[in-house]
Amino acid sequence: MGIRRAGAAALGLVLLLVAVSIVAEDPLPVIHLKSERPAPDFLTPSSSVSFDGPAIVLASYPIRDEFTAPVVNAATVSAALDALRGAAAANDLPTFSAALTRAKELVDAMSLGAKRNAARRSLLVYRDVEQVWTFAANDRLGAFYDEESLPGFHDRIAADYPNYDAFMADYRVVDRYGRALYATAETRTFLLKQVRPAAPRPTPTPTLVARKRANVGRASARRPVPTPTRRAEARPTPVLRPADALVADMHNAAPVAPPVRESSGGRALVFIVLTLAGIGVLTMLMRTERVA
Amino acid sequence: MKKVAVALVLVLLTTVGYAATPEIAPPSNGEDWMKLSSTEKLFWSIGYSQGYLEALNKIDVAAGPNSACASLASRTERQSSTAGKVSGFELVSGLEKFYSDPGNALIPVGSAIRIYLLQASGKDQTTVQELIETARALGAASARRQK
Repeated sequence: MGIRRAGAAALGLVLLLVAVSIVAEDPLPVIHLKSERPAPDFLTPSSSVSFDGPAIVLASYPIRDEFTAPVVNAATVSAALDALRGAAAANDLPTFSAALTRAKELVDAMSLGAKRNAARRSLLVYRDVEQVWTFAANDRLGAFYDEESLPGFHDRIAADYPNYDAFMADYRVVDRYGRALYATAETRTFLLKQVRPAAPRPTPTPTLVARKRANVGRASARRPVPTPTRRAEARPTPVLRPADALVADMHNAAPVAPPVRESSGGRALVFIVLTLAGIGVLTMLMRTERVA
Repeated sequence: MKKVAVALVLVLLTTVGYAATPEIAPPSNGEDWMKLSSTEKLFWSIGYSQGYLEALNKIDVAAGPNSACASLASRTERQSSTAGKVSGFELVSGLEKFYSDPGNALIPVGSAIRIYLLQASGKDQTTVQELIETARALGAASARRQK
């Protein structure tokens, strides 16, 4: 019994000591970042210093604020494209990437048509810009790229943009091993020049031949046809080409218009007249024989 | 009278000769740097590194083999020298990234190279940013003086 009381007293003493130490211990000073400093109270003079509580202000200067990614809330495609152009002019890659993502979403939601095609064409160029820009910003040797650092990029760009190689002739460096390196800054400049505002296209007059060509022959429809109406007028008779043969087959498969009733009625009338005439001739012959 | 005429002719010839000198200046800060093409930047960087190393190697000749200047060069300057540490491609890429921030446009190129090398060698960000802030203030003051 005595041992139990002693144990309980010891436990109580330990708990009391712990509680007292917690209460008596000085709390650690609050650490504030400079950016988290509370707004100054404009009613108190600026020279007054508050000693309410200890505060340590850390000198923290993030070189690049990569934690707050910019958000582009463009409502229309043109606004998103404007944001892309602005970010490129301001040399702001994070905003450019955010604007490109937003522009892709908006363009994907567009209805099919010439405007959507033009916007998609611009986005393809901007995507190339983003690729080379991201490489330039993140790679240790980002000022120049080669086949090893950006595999296939040069060939693709040279194929997509015929003037690229001529433009980059002055900004191409070859090292002692014969490895060609291309400047990323000039590549970005070149690509940004390829983005042009979509010019309003002349709407072609919908003629039958032009519509059929556009719908059926994809290869022929891809060819640049500046004035499809004129071409259709210049050659009214269809030329036998694979696409036109397909058009002819489709034309044959289409429901044929019913034949003209007048011609069949005329033939029936002739048939009836001839039949009556034949009956009349036979009747006369038979009467002639009886008389004889 | 003859002397005056000769002096006048000499002054005119000097003026004409001075005016005919091509005015190509090396980049002094980020604004100048961004005007160069990539190939110009690359060759400038290679030349800068080579010139810097040449100058370091000549310090003991110019200031004496055991002078404080020579010891400072071997101890401090070689640590921040670009020669042998970064290639021309790397230096151009580093300066491109450094000057992509418009706030750094007025920082002199020499300061930018030193800051970039410290950054690349793993110096803590706070120190580097304080150096950048100081270089910005000095660059802005220098630009004001030139105006």
